[in-house]
Amino acid sequence: MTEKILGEVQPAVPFYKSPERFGGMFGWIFSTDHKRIGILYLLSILFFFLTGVSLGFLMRLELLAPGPTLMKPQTYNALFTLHGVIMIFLFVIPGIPAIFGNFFLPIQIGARDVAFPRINLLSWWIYMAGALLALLSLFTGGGPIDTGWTFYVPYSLRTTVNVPLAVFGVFVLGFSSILTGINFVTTVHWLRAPGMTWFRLPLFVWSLYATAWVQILVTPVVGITLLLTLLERLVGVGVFDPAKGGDPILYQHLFWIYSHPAVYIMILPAMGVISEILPVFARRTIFGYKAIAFSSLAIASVGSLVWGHHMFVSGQSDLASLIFSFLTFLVAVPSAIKVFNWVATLYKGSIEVEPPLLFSLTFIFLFSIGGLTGLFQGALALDVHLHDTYWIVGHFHYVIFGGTGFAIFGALHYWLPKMFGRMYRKKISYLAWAVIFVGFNTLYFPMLILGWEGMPRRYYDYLAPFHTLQLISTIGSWILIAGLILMFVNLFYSIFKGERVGDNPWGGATLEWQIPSPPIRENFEKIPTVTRGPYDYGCS
Amino acid sequence: MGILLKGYSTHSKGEAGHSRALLFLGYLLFFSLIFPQPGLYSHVDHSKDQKGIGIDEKLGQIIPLDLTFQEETNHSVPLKKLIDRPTILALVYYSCPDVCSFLLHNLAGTLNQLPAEPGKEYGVVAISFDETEKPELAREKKKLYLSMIEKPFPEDAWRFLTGDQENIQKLADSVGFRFKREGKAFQHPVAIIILSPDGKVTRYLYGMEFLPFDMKMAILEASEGRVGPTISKVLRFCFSYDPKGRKYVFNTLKVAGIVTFVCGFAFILFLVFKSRRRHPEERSSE
Repeated sequence: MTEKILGEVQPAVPFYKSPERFGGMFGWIFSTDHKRIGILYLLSILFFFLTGVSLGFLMRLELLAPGPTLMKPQTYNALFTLHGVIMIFLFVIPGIPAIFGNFFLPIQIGARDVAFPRINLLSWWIYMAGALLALLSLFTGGGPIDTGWTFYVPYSLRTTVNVPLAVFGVFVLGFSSILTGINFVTTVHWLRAPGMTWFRLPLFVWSLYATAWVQILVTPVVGITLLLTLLERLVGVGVFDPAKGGDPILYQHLFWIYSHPAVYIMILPAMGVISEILPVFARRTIFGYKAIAFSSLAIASVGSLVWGHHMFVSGQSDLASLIFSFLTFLVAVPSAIKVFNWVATLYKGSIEVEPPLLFSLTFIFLFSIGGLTGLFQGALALDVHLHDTYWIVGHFHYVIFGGTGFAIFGALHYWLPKMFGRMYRKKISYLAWAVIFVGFNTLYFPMLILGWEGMPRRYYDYLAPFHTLQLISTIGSWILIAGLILMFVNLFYSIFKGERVGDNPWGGATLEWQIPSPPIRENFEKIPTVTRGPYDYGCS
Repeated sequence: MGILLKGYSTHSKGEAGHSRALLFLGYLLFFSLIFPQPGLYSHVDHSKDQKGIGIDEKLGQIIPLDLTFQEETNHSVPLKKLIDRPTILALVYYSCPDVCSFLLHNLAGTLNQLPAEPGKEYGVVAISFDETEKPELAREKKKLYLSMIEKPFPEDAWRFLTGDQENIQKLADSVGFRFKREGKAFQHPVAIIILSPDGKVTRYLYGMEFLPFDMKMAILEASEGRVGPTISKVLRFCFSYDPKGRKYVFNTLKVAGIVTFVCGFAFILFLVFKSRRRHPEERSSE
């Protein structure tokens, strides 16, 4: 990709060994190195992921049999709320941009760091502050929140649990998201290496760029909404409460104006990861580079206009429902463009099924199920039947866990050897993948059937006819967790004890594979000059 | 009621002193987050405080069709003679200085665009809940609002009725419409009610502005006797001072939205047109 980046190879000092202003732990939490910040995010986000998994595990355990088994209904309400809040706001939304975006965006465009390294560090601190506030809400005030992760009014205004602190925590997290967005947009505009034109950008960078704009433009909306909720709760301003002349539908509009695009904040970077992995393991250039790049922008823009499909039965006007339904079907088009281009990339490639590719292929499969089930809900009449059932829960987990979750696993398997210079045991990876795949489908597919049959979501209990499928689903959660443990132990072990691999174990053509593994402090000895596209295998 | 008024007066405050008020709110917010007091926001049912006015939806119930009202022509007529097709029912009072006239005005506008045949596919009935109002006033209003409809509209398709207190109260109770006299004026919710040909309540449309498409759907449902979910429950109440007090909130949101977009646009212009920062060695390499 570059003429010659490492003219004279010196013994490279890995970024995590290069001297910082402070030693020890302070060297990490006060470092402005984008790679160290990426690792900080990796650790904190994985910690919250495991917390969220544990909460989900407890919920499934409660649903093992009808009737009360483990906990009281109020505890269950708190569990699904926390599971949602932690997974959405602390894991999937920051997930890929904060971990892999921070680590690889500057390297992939040939820069030494992001545009604002200190703001980058600040955004991690804000993320941690928001997370701590949200966690603090569990033990103070009226106890853990029970509103569901959507904080719908008027319930969230009236319940006695500690909504204000949790909502304030999410409000704070928003700033972290906005700052990361501004940082990435500026970095992509300003810090591209000579010769790195817009259409030579790796597709991962394109997807981060589109995501960053969504983060900048829609996150303030949720900020204002949560602030209004706080004002209403604490000083009694009547904005959302119908008893005070407010409008609860207004809350839903404002909340989903952010939270639907937030789903694209979650999935777009994941699509970027897949576009990055596929060409490397098919050994050929990506099919339809521009179509994939522009479909990211199309998803980001059209996806910002579909929020009303969450409100088909909330009592918005029929006309609005009709338009939102139409736009929802429309947004499936750019998503499908990506899927077709990925499949076309594999066609006639010389495919090597390494673990990253396996996770990427699984992404395409599970995301397609998630995407297609989404179209069911987008149909106005059918949504009346499916709304607020397990179908929605199943659909959402197929898209977000089957999609973004598997992309994160794929990204870990793809980039970990670059980050630490060591390889995990591939056989264990294959095994872990198989267990996760089986567990995932055993856990979530029954939910689609349950929802179709009428099992409402967020219920503590269920009727006897639902028992078999609920039981299968709970068993699925055990298989899934076993697979996750296997995968994380394998990856974690490899960081310290894995076999050393060279700078480019996969034969990737993008810039990060042309520098030492692990990368050095400022990535490049000399800023490279780029002379060809990111997936050009013909002339290297 | 007290809380209701308080809620409104918050919006109608002047712009002056806002920054100080915001600062104060900031402090309040901060301290209430640190020391949450359950009493401040514990389970309070606000609906009881405004017992006087509001709407208790009676979807699916049949209104008493034997109640009689006065037509504009001064004839007494039972409701069952008027409600024999899907019917849009508007409870108003004709001398209302505020929202009732907006409501009827907007209703006339919607009927103008409604793709359905008045008098055949649907009828409209406005009934005054002020028992002191007479058919003469109703006749005047009928002339006024029918003149706003530009397409041919049979006179019989929109009735303007008046009645005595007993009948009014019975009708209002049957559709869950709670209003209160205050001197010469009234406090009352603002909504229209869709009735099926046999007098069943099938939908409530809240607020003062109605989309023709929504109205058409509501009429279709009513013609089949199907009960529909409530559309956009923006309960607007009529007060003698500021019926659109909540504009303040919407304006804040509008301004915030526009500012965000302007900043975003300025940001992209800045990024595109300002020359890139270059590392010294990078510059030399070009």
